[in-house]
Amino acid sequence: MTQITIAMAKGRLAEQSMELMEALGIDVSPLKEKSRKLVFESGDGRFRYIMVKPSDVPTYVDHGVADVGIVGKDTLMEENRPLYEMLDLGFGKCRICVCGYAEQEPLKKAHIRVATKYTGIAAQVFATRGSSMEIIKLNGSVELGPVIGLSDVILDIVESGATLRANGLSVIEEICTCSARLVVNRVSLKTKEAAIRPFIEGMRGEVERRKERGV
Amino acid sequence: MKTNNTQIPSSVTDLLMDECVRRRALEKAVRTRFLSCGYREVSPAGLEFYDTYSSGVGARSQEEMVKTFDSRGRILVLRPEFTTPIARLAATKLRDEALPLRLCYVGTAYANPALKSARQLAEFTQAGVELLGCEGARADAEVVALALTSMRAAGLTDYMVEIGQVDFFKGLMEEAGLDEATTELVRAYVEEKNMLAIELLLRGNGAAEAAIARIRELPMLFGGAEVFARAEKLSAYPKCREALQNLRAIYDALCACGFENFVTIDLGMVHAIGYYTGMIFRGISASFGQPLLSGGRYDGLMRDFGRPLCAVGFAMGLEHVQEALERQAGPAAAPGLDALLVVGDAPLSRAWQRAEALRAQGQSVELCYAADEAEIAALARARRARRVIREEEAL
Repeated sequence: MTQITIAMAKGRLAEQSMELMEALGIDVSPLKEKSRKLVFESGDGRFRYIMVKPSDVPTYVDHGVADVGIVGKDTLMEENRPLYEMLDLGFGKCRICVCGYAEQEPLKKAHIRVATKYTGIAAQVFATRGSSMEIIKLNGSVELGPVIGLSDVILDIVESGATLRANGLSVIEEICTCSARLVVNRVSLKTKEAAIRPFIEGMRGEVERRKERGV
Repeated sequence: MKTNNTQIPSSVTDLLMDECVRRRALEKAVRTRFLSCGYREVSPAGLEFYDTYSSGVGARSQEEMVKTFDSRGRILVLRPEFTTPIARLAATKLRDEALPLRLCYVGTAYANPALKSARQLAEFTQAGVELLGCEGARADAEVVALALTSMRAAGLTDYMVEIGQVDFFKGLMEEAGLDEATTELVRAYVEEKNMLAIELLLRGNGAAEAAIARIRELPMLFGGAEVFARAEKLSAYPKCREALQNLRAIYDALCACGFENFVTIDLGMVHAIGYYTGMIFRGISASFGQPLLSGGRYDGLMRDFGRPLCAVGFAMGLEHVQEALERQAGPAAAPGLDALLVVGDAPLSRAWQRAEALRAQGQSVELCYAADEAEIAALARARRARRVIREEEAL
């Protein structure tokens, strides 16, 4: 029997993925036990799970040490690795936006300072525009950038927009919408096709059933 | 000043003894396979003019090439691969050789590793073949068969090749009437099997529903022989049909040669469509998460060098193959020394003659000048010496 190794982004995405897999009758119970283990195996041995930081999921899958990964589109865009992105799981929805003080029209400046933790996406977004830019890497509370005068704008994911509003900032430009994706290693899809294809199709079916039910 | 005199740059490696033995054995196994199939080895120059790679279908982005200058200020590159130099040779120094030209190579190439890419090395060993001046499905199948048997010769057990045909994709794009920019976007999405993005892009573009439905299926057109039937239903466009006929002929030829269980089809394999002009393929192993070799038909490259000639070939990354082999079976122990010859008080001439006599029989013999018994024993262990000979015993 072929075992599939799944890398999951720790946190809410993992919880929602587990729910989806449970609905398909996949044993995810070992993941629910309080434990300091890093690798878990389903009771029937068909699946092995590893829980990792979201930004590490594409790395594990690209190297092929995980066959499948579940991670946000924002992380995939940032990491930009050659993976098969086979399914939109529909949850974990957010938008990647450029935000700042809209009235100051910061995007019209000749030199734009961008504070972000998504330095890769920021470089891609601003590379094709006329102005030069400076990327300032922050690891959290990115909104502080314009507020405290560190940057002209920020590039970040926006869910409700509450933090932005509380600080007088607004969305200046929406780059794209994101949600959780199921990614597959390019070699695994072929060498473990008999195991991976039914798993993906099962997940696809469940996502579509949920969409119809409006969950 | 802090110096780096004990360090090496990132993404390069030192090959130490045992690993080096295994690498050379791997190179030898693959080279022997190539030569036995009539491919003659060439070793093109390690430095080339930047111009060789800066334009045409084989052009590479300047970021990925390692560059330097010659004494006249012209830009040079450390060869990033072997196919382009071989095309240059075929168009110049090998002009008068009888066609077809079957050439092979085993050597080092260089690249600036992409910032985010698994295991791309700055210095890597490529082994590959080029078959120039031979067209048709049989030549394509021959090269794929050589790729498969080279993986077998390397010692891999769980290998396979996936084959595709870029004209099937190009045909679908033409049929849908998509422009070049959209085609490139679709290609990138097909390559990542992202059906949702394809659908959203084409819908936003106002493409016909029928075309969207067709192109959307492309990423899933992989698997065994059943893929042909599914693909045939998808499009009756002449270019697509011809592409399928060509791929079918290659597939059938490979099956008839006994490779049925080693070949899979993926029509969604569409990397480098500007370079490849027909069948493309990749070699993979369940022991490694990245392709081990890639190749295909590239009938356009030789035109850039002034001698239009059809061509097909592949290149294998030996570092990756070696890692796959180690994952498959664990690192194989390198052979130990046949004999450690303890010289003792004897003059070198005597020890040397004795050692040479053994070496002439094909044994490896290392001289040992130590006198301390514990030291001799430790050295013999470290060298995995099969026996210890003492020069004085000979008398």
